[in-house]
Amino acid sequence: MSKKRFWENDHELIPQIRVSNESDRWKRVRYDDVNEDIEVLYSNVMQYVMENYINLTYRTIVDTLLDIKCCARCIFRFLGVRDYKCYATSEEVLLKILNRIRLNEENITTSSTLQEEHPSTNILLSKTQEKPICTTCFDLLYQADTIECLWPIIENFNSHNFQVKTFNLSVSLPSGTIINNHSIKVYIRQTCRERNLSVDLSNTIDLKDPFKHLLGWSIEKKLGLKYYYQSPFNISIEYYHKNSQQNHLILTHIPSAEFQLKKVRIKGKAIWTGDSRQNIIAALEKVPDSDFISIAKCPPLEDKERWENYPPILEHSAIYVGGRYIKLSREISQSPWIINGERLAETSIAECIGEILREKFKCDDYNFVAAGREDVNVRMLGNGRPFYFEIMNPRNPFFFQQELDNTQKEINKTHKNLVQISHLTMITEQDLVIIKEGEETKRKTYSALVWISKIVTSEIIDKINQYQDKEFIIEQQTPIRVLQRRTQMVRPKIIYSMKAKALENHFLTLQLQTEAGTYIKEFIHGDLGRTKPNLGDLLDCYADIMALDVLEVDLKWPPN
Amino acid sequence: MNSESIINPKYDLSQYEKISEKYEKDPLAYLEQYYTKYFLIDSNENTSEDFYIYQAPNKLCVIGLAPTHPLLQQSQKVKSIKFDEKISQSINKKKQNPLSVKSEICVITTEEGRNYSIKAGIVGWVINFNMRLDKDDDLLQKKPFTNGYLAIIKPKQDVPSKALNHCIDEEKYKEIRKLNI
Repeated sequence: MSKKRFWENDHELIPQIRVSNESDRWKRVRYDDVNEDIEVLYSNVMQYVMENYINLTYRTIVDTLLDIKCCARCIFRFLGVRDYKCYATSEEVLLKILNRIRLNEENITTSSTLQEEHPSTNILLSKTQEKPICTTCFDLLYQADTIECLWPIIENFNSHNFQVKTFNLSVSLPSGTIINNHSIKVYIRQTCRERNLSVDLSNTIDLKDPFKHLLGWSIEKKLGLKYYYQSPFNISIEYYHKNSQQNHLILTHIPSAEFQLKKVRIKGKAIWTGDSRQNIIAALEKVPDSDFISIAKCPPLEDKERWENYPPILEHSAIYVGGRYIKLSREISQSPWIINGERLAETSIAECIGEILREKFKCDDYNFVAAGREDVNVRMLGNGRPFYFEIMNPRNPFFFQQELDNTQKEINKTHKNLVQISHLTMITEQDLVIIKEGEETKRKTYSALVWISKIVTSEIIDKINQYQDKEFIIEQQTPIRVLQRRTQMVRPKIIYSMKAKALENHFLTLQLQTEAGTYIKEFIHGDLGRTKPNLGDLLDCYADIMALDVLEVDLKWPPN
Repeated sequence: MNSESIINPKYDLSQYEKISEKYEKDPLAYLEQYYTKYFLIDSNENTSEDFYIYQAPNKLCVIGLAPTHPLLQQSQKVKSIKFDEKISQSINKKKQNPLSVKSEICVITTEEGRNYSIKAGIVGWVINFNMRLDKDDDLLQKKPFTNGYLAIIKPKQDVPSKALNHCIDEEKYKEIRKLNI
């Protein structure tokens, strides 16, 4: 069936506005607790640098990277600065620190005459189109905390009106950054080799780490949420870079990479696989620098295009709400009953409850699960049947019991003659197995209106009532009614208790308590002798069932 | 609905008056609740080896002896009912060729030594033989229209008008066989 999904496509409905105003593009989200004190920052950064580089190689690294106009944050990565708060400082401060590092002598008491700036400094600080695009991050890290980078997420978040307090972040960076980062490493090693310096770049920080931290903090600041890695609300965004998207294909020309793409047919479409990020990284590890230089651009070429992003996907993980339902109508089904596109029952329990829950939780969709089922023409009475709803991607996931009580009232009022629910409450994923158990193992109590071919007498009633406290076993061959889908076999079932009450003439009501999975209708009419013994056998007459109601599903639910 | 009737449901019998009336006249009338009745008339003019075919809403067909079948008309004692072994073994196995209308599924032999051949009657697959007939010799003749059915067949054709277009309904059957029950 195709359920109505009002929010299903709204990810695509949001216009992808790139910030038109140049100053907005660079405008950074300012964090409250960032230290802009150069002295403090410098000593902090130098701690990492001294830890990672024993000799003055780090100066060569800074110089080399400034030569090719890397952004300051990426240079920090190659220096192995693990304190991500350091990256949050303004570009001016970061460049000042870098300039100081490159001029640093073992003893740093020398005067300000040494405050010479690297020639790239000015252009790197430019806030116009002239600023070169960083070849290692395509300006992603450079812009991680800018309005431009945040824009798609903020827009999406606001248009969905998510009512959440925390978020988790998953980002996917352009595959071109992997190749270019490797290329820069090769370039640094090469430069150092020329100057007879040994270098170990194993402490380089992966681009993703500072990027996620900066973006995460900006989201915290702008949306007032808490960045929490176990949050059920996930912001997922994929970045790409058009010009370098195919760059990893150079690996296919380097035999030592052992990088092979496979053509796979999926639904008749040929798709290349084997170029996952892991595969690219693994292949690069196998390639000696000399092989890489002979084929790839080293250092990477300057690029005129910056990063771009696909529409972000903001999604809350499923939540669960449970309760018990009473079905008062013999006209509605449990779940939508549609065969070959034709509706056979006007509405269903799932829809009566689910559509109101959809409004309240503002979810994409829902799944209805109940402890067992009853036929369309069977009512579910008594204390009701346990059920739960899986609420997919709710925009409004925090429901207080008071709100659930009101929702329950609303459902009961709207569907007064069809469905009544009770005990509506939030449940956890761990509770769900209880429902399955209820379906398979728990006793059920039924009430049936029965017609028999004899006139009902007190002898007949007595005959039935001798089983009131005496269980017996029946053997049911798969009913003809379900034989087209259920395997043919004999299932023994226990009738725990059976009692009858005489009505007029040929009618009596029968109350039964049975093992889960007993076919009641077949026990009464016999199913052409396929259920043995059946009620007709016990009374030596024909019997048929006029109406059936479920009175109890013996399961404690919801758990609390 | 008040809370008392939710725990202890009451049934309005006036709703069921008509159906009870019908049932009182014919205790087997309840079968109509569950099946559409069809009949397969003997193509040989001199015999009346007719069958009923009850079709359930899920398209499965129950086949058995019609009231006009000689086994129910004359007092003949059944000696043995032999279901086709090959078909028996093929039940529940996938990728079987469907039986044709004329495929023999069972042979009934009387004490007098007469053999009655039972045909599938519809194009499809036998999914169940009534093995109770083996244990209870009287069943076939005592309860031919219920517990004494012969087999359950799954038609190849889903559309009843196609699967059963060689069969006739109960009214037509009574007309042809001049029955007025």
